[in-house]
Amino acid sequence: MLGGFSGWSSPTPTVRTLVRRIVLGSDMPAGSSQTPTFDVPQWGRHLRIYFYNCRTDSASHNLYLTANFNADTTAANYQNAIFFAVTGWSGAQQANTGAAYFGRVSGTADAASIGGTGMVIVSNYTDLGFARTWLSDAVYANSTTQITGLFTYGFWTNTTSPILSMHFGLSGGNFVSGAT
Amino acid sequence: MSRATSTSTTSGILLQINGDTTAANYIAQLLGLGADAGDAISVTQNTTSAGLYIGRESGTTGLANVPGLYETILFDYTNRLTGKVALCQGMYSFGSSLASNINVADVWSVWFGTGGVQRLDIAVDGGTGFANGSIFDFYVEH
Repeated sequence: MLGGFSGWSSPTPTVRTLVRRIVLGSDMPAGSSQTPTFDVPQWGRHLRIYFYNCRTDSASHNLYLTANFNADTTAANYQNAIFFAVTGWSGAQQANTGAAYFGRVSGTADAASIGGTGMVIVSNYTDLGFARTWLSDAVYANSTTQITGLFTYGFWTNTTSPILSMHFGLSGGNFVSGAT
Repeated sequence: MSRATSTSTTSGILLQINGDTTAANYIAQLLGLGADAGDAISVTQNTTSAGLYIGRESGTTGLANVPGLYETILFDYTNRLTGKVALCQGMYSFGSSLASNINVADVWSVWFGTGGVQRLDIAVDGGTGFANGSIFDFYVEH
């Protein structure tokens, strides 16, 4: 029993510790050469990642927010399933382009004040013998009159190395200042 | 977890930010699964509710002992430059029959106001109140 928590039956309470926050334009410049990188502590079991205010300077409407584990960009090592939900339509697709897909970010053609936002859980990132898996819940604004929600799921086939680092990028364009 | 006092089958749950009840300042995308969604996947955009749409709940015609249960994350609520985005996941009961009871509604919502969030009012969409026993837990994460 934990001190001061009489009746607490859980052997270990859930612990969330902020490891690091990177704000583009503040902690590092924005731009195509920037790949925000987190060194991942090895004392945990699952990772929870929040991203918000994420935009690309691409003229496209929106692009994927991607992550590479241990700088691995081998297409065959990543499998993604993405479920989209927008008014009147929902559907799923698969992708393996050498990165984990964590969500989508808004482009310059989208609502100016709303960036891509999401929450990702990467499970089992330190144990060996199993593929690394993730799931995310994310949203971006196509315009001031429409938003699109999506879920992404996937796995990284590496079973012999823990996730030591995570490199974020976009499927096109540059990060805009304020991305966090 | 919550229920509404209205006699309707289900109602939306709203977060009104800084007292803002102007529907044009909010937008939401609702993904529904279950009998309330026609036993199929349903995606509906909401731009008419006077608050940030964060979930759905049963009314008095739902199973009496099954409240709606939701978790909402409101991102970056103190920034004064951008709109605010919320991710909401949960379930609610629909109708009085056990056979068709569980429904899922995941919601993505945006408030276009750029001020910092200083006050949150929780409301039932349509103006009715919450039933006794409804519980709202509030957390702040750094």
